[in-house]
Amino acid sequence: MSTKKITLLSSDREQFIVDEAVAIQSQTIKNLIEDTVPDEDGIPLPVVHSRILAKVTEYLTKHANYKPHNDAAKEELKNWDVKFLGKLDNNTLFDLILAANYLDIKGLLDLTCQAVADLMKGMSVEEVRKLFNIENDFTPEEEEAVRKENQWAFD
Amino acid sequence: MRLRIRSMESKETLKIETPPPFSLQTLKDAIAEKISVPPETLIISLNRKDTIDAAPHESLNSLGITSGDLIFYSLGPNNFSEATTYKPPQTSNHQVLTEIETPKALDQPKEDKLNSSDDTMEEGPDDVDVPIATSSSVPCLLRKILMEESVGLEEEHKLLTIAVHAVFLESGFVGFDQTEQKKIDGFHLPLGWASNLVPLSLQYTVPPLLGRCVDGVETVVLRFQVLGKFLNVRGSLSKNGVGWYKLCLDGSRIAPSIRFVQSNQVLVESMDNKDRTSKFFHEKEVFGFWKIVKDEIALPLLIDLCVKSGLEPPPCFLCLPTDLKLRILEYLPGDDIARASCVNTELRYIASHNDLWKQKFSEEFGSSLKHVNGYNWKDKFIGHWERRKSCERARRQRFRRPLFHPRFEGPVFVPRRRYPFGFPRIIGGDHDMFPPPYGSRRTIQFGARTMSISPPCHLDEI
Repeated sequence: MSTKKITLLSSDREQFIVDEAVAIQSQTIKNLIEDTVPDEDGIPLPVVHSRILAKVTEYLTKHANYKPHNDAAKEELKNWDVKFLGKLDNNTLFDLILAANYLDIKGLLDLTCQAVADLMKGMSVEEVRKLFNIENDFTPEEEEAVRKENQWAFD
Repeated sequence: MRLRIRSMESKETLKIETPPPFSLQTLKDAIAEKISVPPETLIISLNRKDTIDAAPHESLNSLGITSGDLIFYSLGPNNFSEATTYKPPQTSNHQVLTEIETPKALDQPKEDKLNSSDDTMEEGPDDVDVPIATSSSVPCLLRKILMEESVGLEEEHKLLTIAVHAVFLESGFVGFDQTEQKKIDGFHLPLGWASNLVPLSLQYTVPPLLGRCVDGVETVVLRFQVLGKFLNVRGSLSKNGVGWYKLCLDGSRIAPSIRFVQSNQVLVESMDNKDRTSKFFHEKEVFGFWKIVKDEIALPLLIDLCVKSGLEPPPCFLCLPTDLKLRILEYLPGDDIARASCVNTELRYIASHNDLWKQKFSEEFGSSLKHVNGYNWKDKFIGHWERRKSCERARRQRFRRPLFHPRFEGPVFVPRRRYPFGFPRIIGGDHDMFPPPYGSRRTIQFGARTMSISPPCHLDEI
């Protein structure tokens, strides 16, 4: 039995051809397949760049073809996820979060949000600011107040 | 587990010993047996106010009861001073950024503590719901602007316009006067903005763009339109904007919550319990408003403006919608969230979300209170956190005493995570040779230890 292929079109008009079973793990794509007349070129995903869509399809393909039935298989899939995350830089990670949110892929969203949280875990305030390039916009008084309020977490 | 129980009626204190399993039901049974009443008529409390109303099989540990605690009991619901439900904590000033009581205040008695001034006994551990930090739940700038500019504004749409403007300024925009080609300092809106005749239109830019472009400063424009009780807000790039970001705000829903925030600020002294109960509802509404304006219009416009003018877009973390930021915070433990709230004003606001702390409390200290509403959960979390820490500290000091110390005296603190069996392992010295000081649970652990005195025979295993 030949599986139905779906073509996804990234924001920069690059085509990604995947099995339907792979694609419909994304609730958004599933709805688009059901509700819209397919474009000649494929299903347009105007907010996802090809660089990110490549990662998304890599994740989806692995998770569609791999249904773990025992602990060892689950462990292997988990290791694959860890490796997958390890290859991402910060910007790609955040873009993947946005893509997973837009495409409504719960597993990927959980995985990537957890990854960001893991990055932040145990870090000092300055380290978090540096990691995410966030500017300190507190006035000195506000900063003092917020530090005092959260002093318990620094001890 | 040894506990002390005190009757609300006779004030008489008795000592009881609950047998394992240490559940709420065994506690009730033990009390009932001691005072010879049927267990189902008993109502128990840790602080004489809030009754413990959990499933019978709920463990005492998850309810915050540890060995040596004082439990209040009554045979009728009316004997507890207040109602039989949990009350929101008393706060003195929960909107203004004021000094926060230091954690030391934890051990001080509650202001509304009840009549027994001669009562010198220690309180139950759940008594730590004394608010120690009254964290702000509305971003500083938004709150300040609402306070300064819109008090006394009768019309809902004007209040909403000011609030949207405040969120824009808070998101990093500055107001821009198109006719004079210069930025508007501070909060000011153009003259005549409140007139009902012309649909209002506001322009914004970001500070790095000011004075940069030769052919005029790149800006975004917001247009406001009143439709009955709704305020329609549309935003786009001023020049060659491809599309509009649209938002429809329901004035009748949001305005009362904004007003509540204001009135709280003004009449903070005269706030009563009812106001405090409403507090969480209105703060949630204002959070919802802030979130929708920020995520639906302010952030997309900011990103568009940066892309268009070749500026570096906001840092990737800040580009995420609020819900995703909140989701990431949900994966962090409480102390990391607290540190994250010191990073910038936006994270501070998001990390003050009451539901987030409710979840963290339940993860860290058990889920027995998850059905309760009306707490400031962050305060409650900090209270428990500090208490656990001081317990651990006390425990560590206790075990630093010389080994010849005759016996482990005083109340037993049982930190809930570190030593799940209530007693750390001590290898060496006399500790692993003597029977436990008291408490049946320790017998379990020490049972295994005592075996080391006469080593078990493994011959049959060979």
